[in-house]
Amino acid sequence: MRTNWKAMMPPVVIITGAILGVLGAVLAWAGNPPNMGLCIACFQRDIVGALGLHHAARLQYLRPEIPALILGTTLAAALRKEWKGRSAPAPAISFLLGALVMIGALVFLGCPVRMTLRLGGGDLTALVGLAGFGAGIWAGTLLLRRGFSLGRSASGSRVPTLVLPVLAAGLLVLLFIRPAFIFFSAEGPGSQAAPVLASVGAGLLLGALAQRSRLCLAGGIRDLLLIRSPHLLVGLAAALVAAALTNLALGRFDLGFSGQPIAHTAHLWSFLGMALVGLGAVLLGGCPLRQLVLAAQGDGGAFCAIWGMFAGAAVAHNFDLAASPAGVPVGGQVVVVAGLVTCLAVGWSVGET
Amino acid sequence: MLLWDRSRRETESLASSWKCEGAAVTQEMTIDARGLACPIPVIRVKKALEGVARGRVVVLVDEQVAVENITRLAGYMRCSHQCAACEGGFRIIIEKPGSGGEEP
Repeated sequence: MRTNWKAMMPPVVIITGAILGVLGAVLAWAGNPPNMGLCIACFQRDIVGALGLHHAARLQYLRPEIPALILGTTLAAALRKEWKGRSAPAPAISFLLGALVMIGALVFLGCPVRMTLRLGGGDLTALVGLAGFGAGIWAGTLLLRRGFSLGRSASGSRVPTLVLPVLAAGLLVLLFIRPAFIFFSAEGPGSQAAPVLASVGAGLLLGALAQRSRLCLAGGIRDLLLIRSPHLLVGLAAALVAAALTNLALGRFDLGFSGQPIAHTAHLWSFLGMALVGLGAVLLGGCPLRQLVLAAQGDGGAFCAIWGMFAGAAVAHNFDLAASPAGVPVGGQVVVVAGLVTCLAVGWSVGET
Repeated sequence: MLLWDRSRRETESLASSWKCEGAAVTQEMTIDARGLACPIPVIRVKKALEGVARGRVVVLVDEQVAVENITRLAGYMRCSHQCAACEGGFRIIIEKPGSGGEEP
């Protein structure tokens, strides 16, 4: 039996994953919070805080990685003629799922990217998150097999798709002029940041590579379960190995369950939080990183999901739902369970035959 | 926009049709996966290919990424495939060779 290794393990996906792992570890070494060189959820949350939309004073910074990633994606998509306007078939559901994915991530303390980087730093509590992530994705694939679909999008004008990259550029401008109405943490994770130009460069590069490779950390497990294809999972594996090797080289690898940076040991909630991320991501059609990339190349549904994530971050901190190294607040536990039920209900009831 | 909608209705109404090639019965099916988010086009094609012993599945998609995913799936399932650009997207024709074709 002949196996097409190149189709099963596309080099561009492996390279993107490896660079994600290396840059994630290096950015943490260069000043970003520990095991948080890059995190789509945490960094969106920090931006929401910098804009004054939540009041967690230790979690406010205009993280340049996110807007740079958006701009890198849009540029790469434009060069490859894949920058296209697409309508959102179910904007309200995309918004809701985005918000729930964000709350799940903030209960675990990281999106799938940071989950991988935490594992690559030796944080074994993230293994529980990985198990939950897999369980959520598995549930999502059952709903997909049953016929779940957000509906059909239609092609449209490219003009509205300029909104996200222009806003991203605006955020970078605000970071450079630092006006008084933007909040910057004086202490805590929000005060820990890599040099701006390093963050911008990393974001641009990763955006372009993620656009090219279509890397999706939820898609890796999903496609393995659905079509027995490891072609995206090798990206997650490459990121994990590259992050671990880079951390070992930098002397920042600390294997264990206890005392891990910006992590908690409430394993049940790590599991359920990431299960919510996995399930929501499969219903949305991709992990937070992939949603950001899709939105930046003109996808309206992903655009709604991104705004849902921003709203979810504000809600998570304003209503005391988000976890901290001390544990998970009761409100966060309630919303994670309610979120899982909501996702299952949406996945069960929405679809076209 | 109008053309687009009409062609969609036509392809969806053609759920499946039977035709005879010699003694063997083959099935031809058209799937309109335009506008559907990843990975739903792939799931529909997989279901269609699994549902027939041998035959042809024609898939309409409107994104390059869907083309890549579906041709990858066809490769896994040892089906031959060809893809051509058509109005509003791509048309992928997948041939499932039947059980005899799976042997090396």
